[in-house]
Amino acid sequence: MAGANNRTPFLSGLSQALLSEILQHLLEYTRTGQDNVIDLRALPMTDDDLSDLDRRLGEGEVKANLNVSGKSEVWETSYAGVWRLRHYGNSDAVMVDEIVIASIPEILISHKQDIELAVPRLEKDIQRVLNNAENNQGVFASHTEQGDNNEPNV
Amino acid sequence: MNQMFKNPFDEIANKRLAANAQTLGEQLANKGMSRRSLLKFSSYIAAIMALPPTVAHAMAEKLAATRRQSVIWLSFQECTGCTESFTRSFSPTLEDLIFDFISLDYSETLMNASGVAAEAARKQAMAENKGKYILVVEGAIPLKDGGIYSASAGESNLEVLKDTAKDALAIIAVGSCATFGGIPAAFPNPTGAVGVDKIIKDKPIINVSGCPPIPEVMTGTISYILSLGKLPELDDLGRPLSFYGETIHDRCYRRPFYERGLFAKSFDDEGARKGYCLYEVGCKGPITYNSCATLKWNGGLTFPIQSGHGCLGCSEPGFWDKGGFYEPVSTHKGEVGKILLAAAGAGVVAGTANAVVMRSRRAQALKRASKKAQSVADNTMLPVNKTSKDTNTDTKGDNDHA
Repeated sequence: MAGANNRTPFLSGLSQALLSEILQHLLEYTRTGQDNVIDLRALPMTDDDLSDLDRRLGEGEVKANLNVSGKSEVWETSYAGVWRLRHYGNSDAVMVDEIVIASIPEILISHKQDIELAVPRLEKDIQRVLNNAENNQGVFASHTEQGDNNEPNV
Repeated sequence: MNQMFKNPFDEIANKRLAANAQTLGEQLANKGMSRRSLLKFSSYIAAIMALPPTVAHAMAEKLAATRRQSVIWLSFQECTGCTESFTRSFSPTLEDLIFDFISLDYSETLMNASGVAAEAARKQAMAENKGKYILVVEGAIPLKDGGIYSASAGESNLEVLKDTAKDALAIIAVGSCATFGGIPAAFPNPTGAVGVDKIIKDKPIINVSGCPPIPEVMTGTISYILSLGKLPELDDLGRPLSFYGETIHDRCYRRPFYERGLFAKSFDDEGARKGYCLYEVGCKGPITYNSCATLKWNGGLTFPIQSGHGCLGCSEPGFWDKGGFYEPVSTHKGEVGKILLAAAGAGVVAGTANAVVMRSRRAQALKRASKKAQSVADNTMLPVNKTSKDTNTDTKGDNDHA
């Protein structure tokens, strides 16, 4: 982008100011364990401010793509505990754009209720596999029959 | 024989009842959606309402345990633009979730039923959810001559509003017509149109003004009530402070140009091309409280000022009668205009100006608007009566110019 477009970036100074705010939140986290969120859409940031901020924060080891009522992206910045979170809505419009200060953003954690619902579903699926195995004298036969054999046709 | 002719409406009604008996968490689980959806939705609502970050978690938990909220949507003197705004921008992703959270039991525009069946649906929803339904009103209500100028199903808007408001939990007046009278109340206001809060005095009323309001403001307000079980904090005009707490000007990305005294003088000059402040070509941003500069429109794509046009001030009382959309704010000779002009000239931070605007807003806005319209009418020799008393004017403390 820099090569193709040599206009002067329109920087308001917000990206630099935010670094200090992030530092304060990180300090608070280390002292009290308190999570924090900075809502970037609530700030009058230019597109250049945003890309400048992300350039300064860098990218860390974790990057996750979520498919939750539309797309979402979460990535850890080069500073541990400082995450970027972006929720997309209709037509990939950015609906939520945040800096999250936490050990892990809550959206990545499986909810207890979802885990509880997973139990009966897995039990049922296991039962079905066993039933099919009995009927067809083999697990592989049942897989093929159900059409969920992932092996490519040869 | 009877069984062969099942009433299809019974089936729909039964499905609706079954769905309403479930919590939102159960409903989503049935659809194979995880609780992350609720968390994502909540953080979206928390973000647009500027709520503290910890609230998103609590909101998601509360929403999961909530049942669908019955909503009755009444349309009076209006153009249906508010419904358009609310529905058009939503398709099958995050924004769509709000429609899983509410049971829209009556809406002339959106419902399948018509005629007697439609009115029966309203009565049924009112009886089933007595004291618990949210009433959304779109459009102004005419009062002149007993309110005969707008009616449906043989009842005047006034009667329907009073009847439906009686057992409502709260009322959300949507759009500038339902809040301040809007275009139907524009001078000389032939039908005596007023907003909801001029008629209903004994229910909590939330004013979501704008022509139309930003869809997120409507979604946010309803979700706030659902997930926190209380009404959001309101400003002196009954509007949620989260969305109407600051002026367009305060949050405008062109504000730095204003501070430096750099203005577009016309829509095609050098300044306009460079994106300078649109104050001098009539932008009403400095006296308009709304979230357009931050939430923007069409899924956050842009807003009028970003597209090169000044703000019309559509979320303020009397915006329709305030004179030309291309006259700078300072040509209003009142106190507000003078101070803003001085502030612009001296590069003073507009805090002072805002304080003044806040104090005298509603009273002066409506007064000034109707006076302005009156003087225009006088000049054009229209045979009109003295300014209508129905335009919500509160003259107390008004020291406006004649």
